[in-house]
Order: sequence, then structure tokens, then C-alpha cells
Amino acid sequence: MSTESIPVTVNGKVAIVTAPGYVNEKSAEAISEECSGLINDGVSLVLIDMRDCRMVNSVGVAIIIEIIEVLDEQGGSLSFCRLSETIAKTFQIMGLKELAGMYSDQEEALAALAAA
Amino acid sequence: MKTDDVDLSIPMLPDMELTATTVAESLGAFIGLEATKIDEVKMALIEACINAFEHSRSHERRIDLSFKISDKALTITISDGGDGFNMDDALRRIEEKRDKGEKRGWGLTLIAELMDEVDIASSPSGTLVKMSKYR
Ligand SMILES: Nc1ncnc2c1ncn2[C@@H]1O[C@H](COP(=O)(O)OP(=O)(O)O)[C@@H](O)[C@H]1O
Ligand SMILES: [Mg+2]
Repeated sequence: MSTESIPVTVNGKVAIVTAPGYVNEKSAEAISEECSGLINDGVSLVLIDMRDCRMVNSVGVAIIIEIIEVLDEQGGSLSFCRLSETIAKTFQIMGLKELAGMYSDQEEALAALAAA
Repeated sequence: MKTDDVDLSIPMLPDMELTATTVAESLGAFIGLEATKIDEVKMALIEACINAFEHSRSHERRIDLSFKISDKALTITISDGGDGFNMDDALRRIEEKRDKGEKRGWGLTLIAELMDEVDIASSPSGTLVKMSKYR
């Protein structure tokens, strides 16, 4: 597979990152790099839109959990929206539900992040 | 080998686990497994394959998969021809890693949680993961 480019848009204080179809070690590293860049730019609220993501693996998710810790240290947070049922279950098993916000869509997530 | 089994051999190369999931997906649909259950099977299968890639130390660097279908279940066996592992030792290492705040060590848990029945047999001639999802 070619190197993934991770689309990022900024909405107010929140950076919205679109996850690729498969979150494995390689694509999670790419997401992590994007987030490091965002943090350097002073952004600490990140929303990962999972609309295109069909599959994840535990190695990729472990990298995502490390991103959460870095954002936390900056006083920020990581949230997700549009998770498939099975990815939501996987996140729940791995304890992500306690570490990150889970929203049904971007609108709901952005409203919650603006209010926080 | 039963006549209605499907066999597949994949090399231990990046993303090859996705090739295995396409077979699981089509066979799951063939026996009428609902979409969410098929997704759970695919996710568990990915974990079993990447464990074989990462940990088996197989010389052949191939995984043999067998997909067994019936009107009741889809059963997949994943055989890596590696040098095996001890489950108790692995579980202890996972505990230690979690205590140290490391994020890895979720694959076996995910397989157990996402499938209905899992049996792992490991010996110095390889690891065999057998997992079933019921309709
Ligand atoms: N097919 C395998 N061959 C050899 N060892 C394995 C295999 N599958 C799992 N293991 C062992 O079990 C441990 C736990 O696996 P897992 O729960 O997937 O976590 P992780 O892969 O992140 O370490 C591995 O670190 C490895 O020691
Ligand atoms: Mg693993």
C-alpha cells in the first residue's frame, strides 16, 4: 500500500482528522504524526472521524491511545465520531471509552467540544 | 479435509491479513451470518494473523488458514508453523506490560471477546488458533 495521506480540516479550536479504511500500525503512525504537527501548531482538541474506517487492529489502536496521552498532557482531548458497531466494541474492550469522547457525528462532537 | 472447507495460504507480509478477511467475509455472507458478526470475525482474524506475523518466528513465513462452514457456524483455523508460546507466560507478560502503562497486549483478549468459541493450541511446531462464530 502507498503511504497514506491523512486528511485534516480545522473547525474553530478542533482539528478533524479523517481515519483511513484500515487503522493499522502504519496508518496510526501517520495519524500520530499529523497530531504531533497539530500540537506544535497549538491545537489540542482532535476529533477523528471514523466514517471511512472499516477495520482497526490492536497495534494501531495502541498508537492512538498514546496520542490520547499526549493530547491530555497539553490539556486537550481526543474524540471519535461515526464508529462502526464492531469498532465501537473493540474500543470498549480496549478501554478507549474511558479515555476519549465518542459521538455519533461531527456535529454532535463539535457541539460537545465547544461546550467543554 | 472435508469437501466443503475452504483453504488459503498467505505469506507473512504487511496487509496480507486483509486478504484473509475477504474470504471470511464472503463465507460469512454465504452462510447468512449478519453483517456485525462478520465484522467481528474479520477483526478477530486480523489479530490472529498479525500475531502470527509478529510473534511466530516461522521459517516458512506463511500462514495456513482453513475456513469451515456449516448452517450453524463459521470456523476458522489459523496455523503459523512457528515455534509456539506458553499461554500462562504470555498472560503474565501482558499483566506486567499493562502495569507499566504499555498499550500493547490486546490481541488475544479481542479474539476471545469477538468470537463465540476460541481454542489456542501452541507447541514448538507452531500455534493453531481455532475460532468460531455462530449464526
Ligand atoms: N502466533 C503466536 N506465536 C507466538 N507467540 C504468540 C502468538 N500469538 C500470541 N503470542 C504471544 O502472546 C502475546 C500476547 O499477544 P496479544 O494479546 O496479541 O498482544 P501483542 O501482540 O500486542 O503482544 C504476544 O506478545 C506473544 O508473546
Ligand atoms: Mg497481537
